[in-house]
Formats: sequence, C-alpha cells, structure tokens
Amino acid sequence: MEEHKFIQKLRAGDRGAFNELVLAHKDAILNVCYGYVKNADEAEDLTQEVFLEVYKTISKFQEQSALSTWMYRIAVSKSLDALKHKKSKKRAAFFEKRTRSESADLEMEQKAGDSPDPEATLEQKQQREFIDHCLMQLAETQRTAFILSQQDGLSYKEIADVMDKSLSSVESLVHRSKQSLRKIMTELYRDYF
Amino acid sequence: MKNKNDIQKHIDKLLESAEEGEKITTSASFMDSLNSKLDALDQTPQAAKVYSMNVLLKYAAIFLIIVLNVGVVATQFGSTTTVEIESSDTISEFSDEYFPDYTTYTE
Repeated sequence: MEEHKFIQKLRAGDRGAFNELVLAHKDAILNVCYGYVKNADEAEDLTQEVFLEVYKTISKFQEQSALSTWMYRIAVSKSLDALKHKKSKKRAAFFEKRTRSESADLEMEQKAGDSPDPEATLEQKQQREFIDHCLMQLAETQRTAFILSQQDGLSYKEIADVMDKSLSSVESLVHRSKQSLRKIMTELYRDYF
Repeated sequence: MKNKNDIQKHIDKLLESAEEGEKITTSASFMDSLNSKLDALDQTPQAAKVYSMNVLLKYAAIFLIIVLNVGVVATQFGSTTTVEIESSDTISEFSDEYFPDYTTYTE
C-alpha cells in the first residue's frame, strides 16, 4: 500500500519522490549493469538510462511486481542490449585493435608500476579479467541468474520475477551457472595463468 | 607449472571472487547529470500523436477490403433476385431449336 502511494507520487511527476527512488536504488542498479558490461563508465551511463526509462514509463507500470523488480528487469534488459551492441562493434574493432600503437598498454604498465605493489596489482587485474572472461562464456540466462543471485544478492523469488521464470527453474539455473562457471574456468585456466 | 591440486584450489578462490563480484558506486556527478537529463526531458514538448503512413495504409486496406466484400455480396444478392429461372415449359418450347431432331442430321 505504501509502495502504491509512492508510485502515485512518481506518476504525478513528483521529482522529490523520484530523487528518493534514485538514491535508494542507484548503486544496486549500477552493480547489475556492471555485472554485465564490466566497465564503470558504461555501467553508470546504463544506470542513468534505466532511471530515465523509469521516469518516462512509470505511468505504464502495472504494479504486478515490486517497483524494484521492475527496475531490475529494465536494468537487465538494457545491459543485455548494450552487450549485443558491443559484440557487433567488437568485430569491426578487431583489426583496429591489432594495428593500434602500444602506448596505451605501456601507460597501463607504468600506472601499475606506480602502485605500492605492482606485482599484486597486475595479478589482481589478471584474475579479474579471467573471471570476467569466464562469466561472459556463460549462457545468457545462466549469467543473469548468477549475477543477480551471487553478485547482487537478490532472492530466488526476486530473480524469478525479474526473469519471468518459476522459482524452481531459477534455483536450477543458479546451480547450473555455478557448475558451468567452474567447468569454463578449468578449461580456460591455462590460457591465463 | 602448477599441479592439479593447486589449480583446483586457485579455481575455488576465483569462483569465490566471481560470486562476490566487484562492487562499485556511482560517481559524485551522477545525480547532477541525471537531473539535467530529467530537466531536458520535462522541457521537451509533448508531441501530438500522429498516425504514421503505415497505420493509415493499414486502415485504407481494411476499408477497401470491406467495401469490396460488401460490393461482391450485394452483386450476388442482386443477381439472385433478378435472374428468373426458366421454367421447364419455356425450355421445351425452344427445345427443337436447341436440340434439332436427330433425323435432320442423319438424313
């Protein structure tokens, strides 16, 4: 009932209520987006897009789920769209990447060298890249279930609402995502370490 | 080179890291940037709903189909009411003309 009143305020264009909503959920939405795109700036842009979408379409929200669930759904959908867009761009960028100067890599190495323990920083970076690469190999539904359950800490019920799946299928998806991730990590381990 | 046990231990750790995820927070300018976008959105005049050509074409096609169907039905209805079915007497009256006697051909 409280949420319904809050939604009514949002529908009436109450910017104070909207700011309250943003402040309460911005970091959670940001981390959902980051779970997919793995780039802080891009994730922040996506988070802004999510809130703009909420602002524009709140009148169409039918309150069949919690407001936060609806926002998570928008965040997942926008992140997946961004990833698809990225994939199509990736191919075009492949040749450019091969011919670009090595200055950027050199700069990164220098930055790592400035940190207190450059070796540890580099190792951490390598591990992060490995984890991100392995996560990207998961099937789309498994990745979504994994990100929402493990990284964002959503309950199975919330994930079921976001993904529009039954509770049992979400449980199974999360379980399978962990198994798949272990398998992928084992397969790709030698390429990284 | 690491042995299998070491690799499995390392993978366990990596899995834990993957499950924890990397947490980030929004930048200091996030709210200002979002609010300026919302201001711009509020100031955008609401465009009147204009039907696209495609929608108009769809309506035109449906209208045309309905008109043609009604036309065909009306024609059929008109023709069944106006056409008189010739009685067997009328047919027999002209039967000679239509079916001349067989002998005229065989003679």
